[in-house]
Amino acid sequence: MKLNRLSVNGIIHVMERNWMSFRKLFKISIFPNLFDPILYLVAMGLGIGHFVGQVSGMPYLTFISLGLVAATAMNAANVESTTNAYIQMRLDKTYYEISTTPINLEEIIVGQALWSGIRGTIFGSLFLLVTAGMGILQSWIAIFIPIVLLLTGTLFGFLGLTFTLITPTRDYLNYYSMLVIQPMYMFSNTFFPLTSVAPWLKNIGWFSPLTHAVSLIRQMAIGSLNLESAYDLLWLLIVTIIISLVPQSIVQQKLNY
Amino acid sequence: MENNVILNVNSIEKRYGDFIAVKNISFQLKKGRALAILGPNGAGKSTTLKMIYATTVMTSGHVDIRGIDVQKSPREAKRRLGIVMQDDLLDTSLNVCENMIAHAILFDIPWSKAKEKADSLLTFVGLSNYRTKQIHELSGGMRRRLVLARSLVNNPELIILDEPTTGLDIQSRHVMWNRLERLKKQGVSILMTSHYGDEIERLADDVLIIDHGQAIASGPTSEIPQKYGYKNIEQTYLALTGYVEERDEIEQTFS
Repeated sequence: MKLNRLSVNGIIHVMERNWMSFRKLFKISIFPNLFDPILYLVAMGLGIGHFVGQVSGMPYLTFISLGLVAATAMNAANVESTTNAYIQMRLDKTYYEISTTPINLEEIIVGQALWSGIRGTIFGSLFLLVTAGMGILQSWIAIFIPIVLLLTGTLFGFLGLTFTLITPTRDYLNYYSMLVIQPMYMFSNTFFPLTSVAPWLKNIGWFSPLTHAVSLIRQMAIGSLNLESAYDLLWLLIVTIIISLVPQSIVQQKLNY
Repeated sequence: MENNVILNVNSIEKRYGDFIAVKNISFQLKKGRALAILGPNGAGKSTTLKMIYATTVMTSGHVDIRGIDVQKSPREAKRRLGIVMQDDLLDTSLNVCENMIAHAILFDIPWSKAKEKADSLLTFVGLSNYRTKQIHELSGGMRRRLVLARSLVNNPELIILDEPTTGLDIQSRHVMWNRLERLKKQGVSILMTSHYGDEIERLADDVLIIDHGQAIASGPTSEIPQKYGYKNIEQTYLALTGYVEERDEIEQTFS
């Protein structure tokens, strides 16, 4: 399979174009993006947290707030690379319009995945500010968390775009969000530590990118980075690179306008 | 003389399995000239255009724009092209001027320049008072003019238009024709598809009639009708695509 050469300018232009649409809708999209994690924070953190006490050496509220920072980035990137990308791919055919300019389909995919990452960073960071306001962040290293959010969002951007490209109809995208994203949301060290569950569930959790993002962010927030954190970062980097090749290699075949 | 050739299409072909959508189409287009492709729906017109602007991969053949091979160097070829597709493909989340800018930046045009360019082109197509309007506020004719303006942001040497005036009212069609004529005078070449004899006679110097993916007639628009013994392009086209006999059959059946 032949991959077209990528132009950095082309990828940047795709992101600029997304930014043009996004900046008009930014204010009204804050609420839906932050409502979900805040709801979980209140229900689990304040509700269940009351019965739980310490988890992995930190108060339960701290534990899940940091998990939700990563999950917020994942969800924002997922919406951008599935629902929003589907509209641009199949309904408005914005990708087709762009592909009549010097920009090729592969650049559109990479630009869209990175843009998903940026969206994940924006909303993940907003929720990070909420946690900062709650006095949860304990280390200056936390200022680097947005970098992890960008990486996480971009990874889910490429993953979401892969499913958006192969989905026969829009309805199947719900299956992806329901059967892939939602379970990751629940079982990625987000709401309870994977150390305390059955080994098979722990093993499945290892395959979830969110697990590694959550662990990394948690260690950064409390300022106890260790060898395992480096390993999580490496895992995210390598998997992002590998997954990025999939939508790039199928986009020519899947989008024949 | 060779230098004047903007577009060179050489025996292009598109197959989908056993089905041949476009078979052995060849033509040339020179600077400041217009060529129209005429043919029934499904005859392969849009496929031909898409192979030329390199969004559809050709099965065989060769296309170059100013000597640039569109298959080997699509990026460089597309820099010289303006494209008006059959669907408007406007971004409804952006207003009129923003749609222009969003397209211009894709050609590496800096934002400030893109804005200037957008303003002057919107004036050219008579939409300067609609700069901040939303897309859904525009009529069909205005949308088409906006798409034409959008296709000009990169100062193309060749513009490709797929049915530029289909579905427009008479005034809107005349505005489009007037602007296309002005572009031709400025030396821009035009390749278009059309279903209208009057449009072709007014704009196109040359015509290519295709049916079932094959060229069945080609030549200067002014000479084609005489060559086949008909009054105008539309009659010639109907005769060449077999419409006359078919109508006779229908009339016989019902008489």
